[in-house]
Amino acid sequence: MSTTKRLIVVDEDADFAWLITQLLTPEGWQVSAFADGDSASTALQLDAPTAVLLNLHLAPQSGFECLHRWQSSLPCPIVVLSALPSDTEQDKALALGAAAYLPKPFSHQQLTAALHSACAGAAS
Amino acid sequence: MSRHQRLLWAAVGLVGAVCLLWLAAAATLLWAVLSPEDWASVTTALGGRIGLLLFLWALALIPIHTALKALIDRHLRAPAQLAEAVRLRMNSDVDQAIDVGEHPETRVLADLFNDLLAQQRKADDALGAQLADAVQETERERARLSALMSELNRSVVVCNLEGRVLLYNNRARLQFKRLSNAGHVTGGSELMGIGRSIYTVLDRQQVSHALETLNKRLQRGASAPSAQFVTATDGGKLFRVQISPVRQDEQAMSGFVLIIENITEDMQANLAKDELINRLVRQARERLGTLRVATSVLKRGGLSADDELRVQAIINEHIERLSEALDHAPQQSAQALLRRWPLEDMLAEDLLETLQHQLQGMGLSVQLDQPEQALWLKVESYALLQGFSALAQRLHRDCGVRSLTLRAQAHPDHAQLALIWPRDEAHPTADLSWEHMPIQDGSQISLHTVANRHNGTVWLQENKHHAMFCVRLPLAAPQDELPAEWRQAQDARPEFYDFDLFQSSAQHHVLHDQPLSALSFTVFDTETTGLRPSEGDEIIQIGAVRVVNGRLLRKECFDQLIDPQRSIPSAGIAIHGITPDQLQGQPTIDEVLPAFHAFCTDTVLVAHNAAFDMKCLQMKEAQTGLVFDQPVLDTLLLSALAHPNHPTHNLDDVAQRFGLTIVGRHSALGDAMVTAEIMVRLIPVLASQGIVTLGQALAASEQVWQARVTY
Repeated sequence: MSTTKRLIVVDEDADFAWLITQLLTPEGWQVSAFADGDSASTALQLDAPTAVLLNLHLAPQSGFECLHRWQSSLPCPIVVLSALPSDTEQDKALALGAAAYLPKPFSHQQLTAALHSACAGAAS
Repeated sequence: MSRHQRLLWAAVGLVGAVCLLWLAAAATLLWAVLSPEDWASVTTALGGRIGLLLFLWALALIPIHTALKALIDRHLRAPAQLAEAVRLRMNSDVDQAIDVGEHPETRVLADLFNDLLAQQRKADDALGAQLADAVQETERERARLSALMSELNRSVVVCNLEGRVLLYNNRARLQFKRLSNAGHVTGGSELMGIGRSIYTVLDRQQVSHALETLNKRLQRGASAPSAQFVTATDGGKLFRVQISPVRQDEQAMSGFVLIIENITEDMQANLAKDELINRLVRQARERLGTLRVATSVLKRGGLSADDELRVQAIINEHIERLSEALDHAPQQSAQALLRRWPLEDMLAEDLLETLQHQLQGMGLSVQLDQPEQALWLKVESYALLQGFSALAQRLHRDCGVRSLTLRAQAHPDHAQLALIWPRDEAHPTADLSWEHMPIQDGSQISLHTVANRHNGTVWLQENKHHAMFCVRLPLAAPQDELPAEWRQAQDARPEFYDFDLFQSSAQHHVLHDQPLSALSFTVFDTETTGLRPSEGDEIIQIGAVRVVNGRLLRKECFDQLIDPQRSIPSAGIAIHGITPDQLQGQPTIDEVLPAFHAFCTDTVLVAHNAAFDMKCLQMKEAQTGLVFDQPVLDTLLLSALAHPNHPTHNLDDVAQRFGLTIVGRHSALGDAMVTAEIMVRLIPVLASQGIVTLGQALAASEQVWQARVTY
């Protein structure tokens, strides 16, 4: 049985996406990065990921719109990232089906814990 | 013959009759007691002397007449004269002492009455003086209130419970002029004016809700109840409105006061500021997020050399971008950040004059070089004045400068203030570092700081003959200056209030049942190219004035020339004096008529020979889509009703009849003004004839034969 975990990162910052790849690859994650929701959508249809890391502040479609679109159709958990965190934003994201809400900047441990918690929740 | 004379002759006649009767009775008695022979002797002796007897009888009446006359004069005529004299002095201004002759009894009474009348006059004079003082004091208070209101930089409007405006100040008028779609034509008076409804601008439901809140607070006994709300106008402007009650008693209102503040710009600025802050925070956190992951990657280790270099490059780049974003923030937010330091719009002229006054107080000679046109600056005037004063003081102390010139100049996107002095080789020169010296002892603020806060800068400029410190400052949007004619003349009765309208109530909901004295009128007149509107003659001027509560509101006028887009016959020019040159560049009827239509809202139209003017307006219905469906009164017909026995009712004759002087005859506004004066005077005359309400006036007008004249 394959233990490769597939992670799709949706973030405008290509450097951030590359760094996430460098950080999580040694932990068994196979990371694919996309700069916007539309390009990520296609990949999501073709390749069922283990989890999605989604920045809420995207353009032209916002992360919330992507979350709303994918939540019902994707079986995998979506961890949302925000550079303008607030309680109301967190409530909205969780209400829309996000598995976890992670404000930027975050530590390695916080990222790992969020992904682990999200996947565990999806499995149960 | 007077009553007393009749009485006298009656009395004389009575006495005479009594004497005759006595004689007859005596004769009868003699006849009764004498024997026939004796009686015959008596009749024989007296028979030929009857005439003498009658003559003596008549003669006796003369002294009787005299005596009776004296009695009547003394006891009847003199008191009656006294009564008349007293009555005359009681009912008139005759001030002479009563003198009704020489009879002692009446003289005593006359003297008593004179004393009484003198006392009454004294009391009346004292009361009159007190009343005059009270009226004068009231007028002074009103003038103070009006002056205070007119100078407030907040818009203040007072309304009765129906939302009718009773009072407003210049700032309110200016604010509503800016809201008006035809402010350049109407000056905003179709939105703000005595008697106008505040609901033309503010949302009725919001105001009603606020009034409900106020009422509840009043019922609970709140000492200073007020309510606030923010409302948007149709034009997208945001107003913050504070509403307070005008109390009738402890728990009831007779009206309300609105303090209206246009917060559109503030809101937009706040939104812009919030947006900027949010953007900065988000950008910063994004960069920090990337940096943190980068440090985590480095900490983990196990990277290839290339990957490690890449990570370091990412770190450097994101740190640099973060620094750039924070560096650019003050520039990007200059306008928004400036709002934290309250900057006011100020005329450069005022700023320089104040500075001149300050520097002259230091013993310097100061000339001003003012800009040609009004130059509005956005400044914190106190700090700026302190900065310039500090510079001038130092120039005076260290460089021996005795005279200065202050200059203000306008540039396309900024203004420049300069402090200029003549150079003197014998004295030390100024230094650019002076911009950093404190503007006051112990202060951390320098002219450099002040300039920065104005998003400006300071520099020193020198040539062979002169040196100057220059400060670059932001321009403010040119403000609407209150027109000179809006400012209250010292002796002019202010027209921005009518507290009588507090008594106005909603009792007469049906317009036709309303008394004429309580109605609001728009009295108007048109000047045209000719007398045939149905054959192509056009309106070239509309003049109108409002009459509210029996008062002409001379400051709420409509006066506009109109380009008819056709030629003007010379015959017409000879009458109205409006030449084609005057009409060039004027707005057309398509622009003016909507403004006039708005001006006439909620009023009854009045004109002299209104059929003609209304025909002119009706001819434009199809073109403009505007229908003037208000009731219309014609002062020509009303004059015929009031004075049916006068042969003519043209404007000149009617004005003369009322003692009115026409100023600007055959100008639309001039004719409208005199028509309005006539209307105000006709109302009580009509009322005395039983024509009180609008319905009665309209019905009566219809019956007047001149209504048959049609165009």
